[in-house]
Amino acid sequence: MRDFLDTALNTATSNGASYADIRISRHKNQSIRTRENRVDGISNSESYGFGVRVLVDGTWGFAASHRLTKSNVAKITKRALEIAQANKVAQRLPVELAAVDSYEDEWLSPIKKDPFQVPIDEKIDLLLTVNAEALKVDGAKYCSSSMLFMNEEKHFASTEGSYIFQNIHRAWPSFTVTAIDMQRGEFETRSLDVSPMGSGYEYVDQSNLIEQAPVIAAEAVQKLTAKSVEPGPKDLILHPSHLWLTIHESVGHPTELDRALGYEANYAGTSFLTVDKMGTLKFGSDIVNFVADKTIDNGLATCGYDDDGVKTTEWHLVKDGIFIDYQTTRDQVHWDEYRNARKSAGLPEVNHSYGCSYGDSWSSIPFQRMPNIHLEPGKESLTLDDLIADTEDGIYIVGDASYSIDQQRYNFQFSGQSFFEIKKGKIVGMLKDVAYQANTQEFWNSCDAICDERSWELGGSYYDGKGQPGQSNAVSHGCSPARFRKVNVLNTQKQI
Amino acid sequence: MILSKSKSRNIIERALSFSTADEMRINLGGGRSGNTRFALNSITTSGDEDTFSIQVRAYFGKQHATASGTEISDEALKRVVQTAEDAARFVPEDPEYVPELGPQKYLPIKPYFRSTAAASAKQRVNGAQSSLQPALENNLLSAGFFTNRHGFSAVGNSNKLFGYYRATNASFSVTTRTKDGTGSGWGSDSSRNIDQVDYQSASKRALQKAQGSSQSKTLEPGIYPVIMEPQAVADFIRFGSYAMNARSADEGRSFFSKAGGGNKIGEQVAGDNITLRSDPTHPQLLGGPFGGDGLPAKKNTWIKDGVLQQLYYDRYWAKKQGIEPTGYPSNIIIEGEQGTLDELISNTDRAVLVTRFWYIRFVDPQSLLLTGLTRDGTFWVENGRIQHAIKNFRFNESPMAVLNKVTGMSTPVRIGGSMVPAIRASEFNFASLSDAV
Repeated sequence: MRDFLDTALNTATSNGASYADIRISRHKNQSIRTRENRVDGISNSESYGFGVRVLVDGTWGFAASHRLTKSNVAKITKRALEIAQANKVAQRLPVELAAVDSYEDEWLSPIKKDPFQVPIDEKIDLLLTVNAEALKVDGAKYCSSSMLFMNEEKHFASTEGSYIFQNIHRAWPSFTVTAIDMQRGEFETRSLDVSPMGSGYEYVDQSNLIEQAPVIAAEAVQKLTAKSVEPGPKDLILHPSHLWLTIHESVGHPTELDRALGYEANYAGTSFLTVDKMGTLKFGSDIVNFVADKTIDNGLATCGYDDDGVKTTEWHLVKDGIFIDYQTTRDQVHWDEYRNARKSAGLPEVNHSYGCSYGDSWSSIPFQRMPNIHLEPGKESLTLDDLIADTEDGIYIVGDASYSIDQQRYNFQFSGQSFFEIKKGKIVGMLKDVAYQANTQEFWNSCDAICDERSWELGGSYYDGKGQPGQSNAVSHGCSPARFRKVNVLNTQKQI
Repeated sequence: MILSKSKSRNIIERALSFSTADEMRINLGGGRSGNTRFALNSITTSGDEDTFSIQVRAYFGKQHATASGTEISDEALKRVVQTAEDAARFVPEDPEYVPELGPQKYLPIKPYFRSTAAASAKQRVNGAQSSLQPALENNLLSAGFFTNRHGFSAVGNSNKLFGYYRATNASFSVTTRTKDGTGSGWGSDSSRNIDQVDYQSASKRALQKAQGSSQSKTLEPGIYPVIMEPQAVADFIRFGSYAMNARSADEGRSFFSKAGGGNKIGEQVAGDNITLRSDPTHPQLLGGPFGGDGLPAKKNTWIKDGVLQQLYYDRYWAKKQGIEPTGYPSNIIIEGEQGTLDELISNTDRAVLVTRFWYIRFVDPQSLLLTGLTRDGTFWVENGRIQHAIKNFRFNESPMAVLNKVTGMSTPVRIGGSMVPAIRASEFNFASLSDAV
């Protein structure tokens, strides 16, 4: 392996590159999908190859191939050099890289049970049992269930002197129940509130899928006859199985430094959190604190080192309600706009990357991707029951569903899996047709209560999209249930 | 990696020779693609990918499973075949098993152009310069993406099916913004043939829209007549096509389900001026001649004069219903009317003009209610003219509701894999304002 790595680095430096790195990676995915009493599909996929990134006179070049031989590594490295040369003519923002230590190290996801070693028939049995249990509920008509497992084995080397091996695992069990009222031509679905996790098969074992099946199915049926929501301003209590996605969209993406400065303008968009707001913008209420992190156990974005070879860490994005920092990579830290804005705001100088570089495949160019981002738990003792008891007129939302936010992350609209009406401190019934619409800053400033660490949990996604060509990033977001005052609730029922 | 037809056949036969399964299907794919990104008036990243994949589907009786890999040696082929077979042995019999297809006849489509296959990083930089230079000259900021791909697909199975084709594609898009962040415009073009990608016009449109959208006024949210430019139509309508699965409709969980059971085929689901079809041979679209299972791509009319003619049937559901499978829609073509977007605008009393939409998601699959936002140029049209830019909106609207209220269309144009017109509709629900530019 070292031969391949060194071939790329030596070819690059002997042909004029000031920096080069290479990733050789194997990506394994296993998916098992079932519906009702049958297996819909079983797939084991594997992708193996390498990608070389070079910096020539401040211009990036990248090339990748599935053919791992020494001669092809040299050829592909030269191709990356040619691309960098071709692009120099239109390079007006020369790349500079922040300093980084060199490491010879390995990092392994701390899994207890390798999902790829668990027999397939055991997985199938579990999923078909889930379906059967769900369909025992009167009115539940269909149930689809799945397990998705991912594994990345990645060798990284750079001209900074690093040689790093990482073995990363992720797991996601899931199911969805559909209830149908055929006569009225109406249907409702309810999906399980279990997020993907940076775990092994032990996560499947812990997810209590069989026990949850009838509960989820009963809610799907209940939704058919639930009361259609009365629109208007409502207090919302958002469960972590829902709130993680609101955090992802309204906090995660606007704090990407490349977006804030315009590097993603043609696709994902820019950000309302422009650099001049660092250190001053009241992003949320005083109890709102967001931490970015790539080290938490079982986080989907957790790893030892990013794809720049930077050791991972954690840092605050929002502290006591004030927006104070961004997500960064090595080639972003020197940007004058960022440095000058920090200086103007009296914030400490940052000379190192926070380690947010990631390419989703050997064939993908690494760039700034979201770390895990968490809402810190409330500091005062508060449970979900306490919070509901303290709410006069509100809606408790569980699970994630429809989500949409504008390209600068001001205006968003979210729906959920289940909605429960709260009257005078008690849940009085189920609602349907609920979505809420808000402005990011107003929303987080309306947060007046966050439950304590006892109910803090991780949610997350396998499929955070960004970039051109599009890349997918897996990322977790932790939080406790939290309350938001007077949020604009819509009724989404539409007759055609 | 581009494999020739004979080499593909050879690899498929080699893989099949390693099989102990009752039936097996092999899909091969791969190619070279290059991409160039730019932002803040400068090239940012650029790459080149050389890829190959093999997917094996193994059957023992009615048991089946799939495995895939990216290596091509005999050892790797044996491994991927064995992985599929090992998994298939553990799977219960599939009550929806359909035997693999035998030899098929495919439409003579060649979605391949040498010009695209031969395009270089320098050529993509030239395309980028069509926006970068004018942006610099006009004190604007340009960001965009230019990519070209040359790939192949092959399918073969133990029932002597074989299919092969090469395809190319090139795509350019650009966003131009004012430096104060108050204006943003967008333009794009794509084609199988890179020589037909009109990046100059796309760049010019993005620049003009950026300049024209910078002094936007606030129009209160509400229900307004709308003119959707072709890109906005493609963004919005494709969500309707996602729902055209016959099985979901028959199972009662689709907009196209009928109360009491069955589906809405034969019913009026859109205005009588709406015809929606697919045609893999359309000269400006040129789809692939077959799908992943080897089923030939077909011409289909989904909606004719507003009446639902057809839904998408896969091989199993078609067999169960006793009809021919339709194949997945290879593209979306909406029959428009004669005329340009400018002519449509000039014949309009009042409407919101939408350049494109962003972040569209389903809100309610029952009504196909979607939410999303306008982006990169939203304008107020009155008395046949664009009067001024307006702030962006969030919308909550259903494509099927809008297709019942169409009052005018332009001639269709190519947008990615679609041929769609600009559409004017009498009502569109703009639910709230967005500060985003």
